[in-house]
Amino acid sequence: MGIFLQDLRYGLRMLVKSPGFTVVAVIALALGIGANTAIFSVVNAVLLRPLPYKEPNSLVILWDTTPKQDTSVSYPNFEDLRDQNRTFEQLAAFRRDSFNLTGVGEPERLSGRMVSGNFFQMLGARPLKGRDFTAEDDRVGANHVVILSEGLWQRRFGADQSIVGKQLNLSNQSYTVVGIVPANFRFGSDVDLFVPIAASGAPYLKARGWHPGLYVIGRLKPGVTIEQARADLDSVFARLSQQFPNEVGERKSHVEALYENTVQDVRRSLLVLLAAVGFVLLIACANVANLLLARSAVRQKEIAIRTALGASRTRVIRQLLTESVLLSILGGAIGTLIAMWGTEALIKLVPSNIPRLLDAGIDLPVLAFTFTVSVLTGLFFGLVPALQASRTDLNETLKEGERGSSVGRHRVRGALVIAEVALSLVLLIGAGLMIKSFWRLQQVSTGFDSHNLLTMSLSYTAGQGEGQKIRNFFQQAAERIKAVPGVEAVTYSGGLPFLGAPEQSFWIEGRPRSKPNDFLMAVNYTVGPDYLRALGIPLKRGRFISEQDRPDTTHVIVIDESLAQKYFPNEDPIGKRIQFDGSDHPIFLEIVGVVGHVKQYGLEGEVPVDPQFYIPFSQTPDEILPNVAHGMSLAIRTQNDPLSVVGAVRSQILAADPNQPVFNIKTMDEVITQSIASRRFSMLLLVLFAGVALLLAAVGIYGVMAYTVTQRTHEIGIRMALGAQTRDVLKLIVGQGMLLAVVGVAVGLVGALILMRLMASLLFGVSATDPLTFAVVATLLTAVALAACYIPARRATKVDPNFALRYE
Amino acid sequence: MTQSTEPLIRLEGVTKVFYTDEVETHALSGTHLEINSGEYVSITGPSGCGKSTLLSILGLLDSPSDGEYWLDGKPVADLSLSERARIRNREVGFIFQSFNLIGDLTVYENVELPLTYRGLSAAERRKRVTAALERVGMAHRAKHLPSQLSGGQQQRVAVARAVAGQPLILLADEPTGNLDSTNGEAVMELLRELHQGGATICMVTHDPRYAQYADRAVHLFDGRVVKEEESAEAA
Ligand SMILES: Nc1ncnc2c1ncn2[C@@H]1O[C@H](COP(=O)(O)OP(=O)(O)OP(=O)(O)O)[C@@H](O)[C@H]1O
Ligand SMILES: [Mg+2]
Repeated sequence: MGIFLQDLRYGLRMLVKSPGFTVVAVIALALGIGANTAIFSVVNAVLLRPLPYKEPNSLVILWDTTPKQDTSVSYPNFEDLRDQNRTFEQLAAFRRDSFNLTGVGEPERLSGRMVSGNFFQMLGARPLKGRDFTAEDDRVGANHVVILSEGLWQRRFGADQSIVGKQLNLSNQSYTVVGIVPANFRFGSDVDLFVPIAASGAPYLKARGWHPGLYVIGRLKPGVTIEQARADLDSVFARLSQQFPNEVGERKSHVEALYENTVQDVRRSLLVLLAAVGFVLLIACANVANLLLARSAVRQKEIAIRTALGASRTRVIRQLLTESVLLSILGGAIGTLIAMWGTEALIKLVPSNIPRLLDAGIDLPVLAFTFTVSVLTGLFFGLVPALQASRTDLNETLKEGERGSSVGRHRVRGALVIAEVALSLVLLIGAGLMIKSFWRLQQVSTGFDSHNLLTMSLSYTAGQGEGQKIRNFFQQAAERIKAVPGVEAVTYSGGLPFLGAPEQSFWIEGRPRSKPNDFLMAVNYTVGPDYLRALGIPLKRGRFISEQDRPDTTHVIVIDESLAQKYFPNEDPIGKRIQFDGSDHPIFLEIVGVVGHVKQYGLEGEVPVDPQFYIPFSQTPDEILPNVAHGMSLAIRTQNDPLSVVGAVRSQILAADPNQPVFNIKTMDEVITQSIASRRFSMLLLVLFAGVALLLAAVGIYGVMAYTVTQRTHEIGIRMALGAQTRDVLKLIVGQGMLLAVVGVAVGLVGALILMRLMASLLFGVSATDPLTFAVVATLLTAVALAACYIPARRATKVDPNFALRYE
Repeated sequence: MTQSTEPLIRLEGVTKVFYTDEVETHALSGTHLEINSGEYVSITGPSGCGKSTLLSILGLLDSPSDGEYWLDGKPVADLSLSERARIRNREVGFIFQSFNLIGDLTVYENVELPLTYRGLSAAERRKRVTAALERVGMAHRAKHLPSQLSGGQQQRVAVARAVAGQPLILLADEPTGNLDSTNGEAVMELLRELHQGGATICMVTHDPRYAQYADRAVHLFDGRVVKEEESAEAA
């Protein structure tokens, strides 16, 4: 114990004696451990940790698919799959819907999930209060029951302990609260409440041709593979398609693991980040190794003296171990702080559409892993002087100092610096490509003017036969909002770019059909008259929808350039007629204009349906108007900051109808920013990593060169005595450092050429081997290396030759 | 100004004081010294009397605390750092007791080093390095590293390095101090040959035998010149 304390005291003294070394080593360790743990914790929570459900690996998700496209599942198909399959223990359905909560204070729009009765039980979720749904609840004609989320219960009902059993008014229907589901239960995006799907009695429950946004999760029987489940469901669908050739046709089930489905969008970027983590960890370790090696050369003589004075080898090793461990603990402690702070900061930065991120906390096994790797590096390289001292001839070491035996270590240190530079270059190029992609993405034209544009959702609840009431409400609301100072144009629409719009199958009058149910698809905007002006979309030909288009005038349609080009490539579409599919009495709509195409599904990525058209809200048939009115958006063009009119707009809508809550109030710019939030997030992380890597590489080069200068002081003295000028000395030291840096850059460029291909799918508008990015990054890194070499080189020029030669 | 009227080196009242924690060391106190072109001067004196300090000042590795120093008729006091480096490079040749060859460079490269700081062409450098190495009898070892040579051989390389640049003066600080007598003799012989060839030499030595090689012996004591005598051999 006494000896241990003595070692400890001596170790501390050594660390304090060379504060530069200590600070740099601790920073390298802390960054390596901290930054890596933080990001790895997030990656682990999102990508590597199993789903937070009971036996997650047997869960699958499925939907309907035809050779043409994927669709949601129709409810009758779900029932047949559930009843006829042989490979699933259970199947559960869910879909999103929203509900207007009235009767308790302000009306509020609530997001809900309609689920089959076994949904919670299948996922292994237990209610916080009350009970789960039962099969009894999930029947047509059953009493309406609702399970609230813990969040809604607390926010809206002040965590009322007696809430279970109370009645709520949701979209003009009375529901009994039967339970509260805890906040830690997560499935997709957060919702306020859950209701059983069949009890709704909705018309789509019986319509096999209707795909109402319903999706199905299933739990495979033990030992069943996904392929077997696919084959099983294929055979069910084969029967269904014989029974219902029109509605089912070539339809099948698309089945995939829930895990795959949850992470697939982010998997590639998370893997890239994981690789980045590994790189930074390697760089940090190389740094620590390098510092310790440099130091070991200095310590060599001290150790030789200690051994000469009779210290045993174990004694020396113990001393060195104590120092390394001290260093590691210091680095580890600060690293843990960075990790805790970093994980928290990252979670705040994370866009909401990355799944399951809120589960991420600092990950102890991860912390342990990075800590262990860093500490082992420290221990190993910290022991080098002891191992070498025992191998080399004591006498030689005492006599020669560092000469001779240092050559090998020299080379190792050079190699470590080269590796650091190369790894940082790869990371920097990755970050550079991501930045360029992001920049390119922001240059993408949306096809409309997103500035000074306010959007909000409105869900108008009305019954059948209330068509005129619905039309009046929207017309009135629009007029009132238009009178608000600062508002330039107002429109309402069933669907907005970036915010979702329904797709509609259609046919062009007079075109031959290969099959009776052959159809084309387009995005359908059911819009108010001022839509084009409000969104700033250019009119290309003809006219747009106007107030003159009434239910009793010719039914009109306006198509976009994409539809025009695709289906009327060599003719004038104006005057042609379009027919909607799916109804027994097809309506014909006459094309009166062509407008510009807009980006509907985001700035990048897959475009499921490219053509677009616009039909007047005013001409929408009464039967389907309540359905359209249920999911409306308002778009308001303002003179200045769109958010400044929110209050006035909201009160005008409530003045038009006090029971209509508006929700999702956002500027269009915000919406677009959010649509690229996860890309921005991964870019940010990668930039962060690259920054850390750059810093570590700079520290690494600096450390080695600073050490070199100390070691070469005598030589520099000789050179100066022989007449070397300041610039000669600068050239000597900078040249040595830059040689390492340039080799590192070259190795890194080759590495990046190979590795960046793996990132290609994450890039947008830039090639994985973009020469400009490669050149800029290589230049940047070289410049940083130059600076890192210059500081010690500058110090070398200050060597006093007289002094250097006198005190060899 | 011709060489016959103006000495190559002229020190007047040169003082050097070192300040170390609380202690003032007067390494030189009011030293006068003149060395003419073509002269061979030895400097002797007890340890710590200021011989090396004097040589450092002569070689512009250090500056006097007080007093004047003219080199080749020009005062050196106001020279910039880079001009001093330039003079060290072109007009002074150093020979050290511990050789001070650079371990990572070959014999050839060591001799070439001061020439590279002058911007001579590679061909010119080659010519001079080869000549210098031949002169000290080390041409056959051009590709060796210093660690592969004996002490005497290393010192001969150092002499080659000092003369390759054809300096105005050779400054040698105990050039035989690290050598056995045989090797010491050889180096002294080499210096004498150089002197006979016209070189100006200023050499610090402990050894009275070697002092005899010089035209003139300067005795230092406690930072002052106490005695100058023409050597017997030269007379
Ligand atoms: N950089 C310095 N700082 C402090 N004192 C110094 C310094 N250089 C020399 N001295 C002191 O100046 C005095 C003269 O030193 P110098 O090296 O010139 O003596 P020397 O005659 O060459 O001795 P030796 O024969 O032992 O080489 C000594 O007392 C020495 O300690
Ligand atoms: Mg001396």
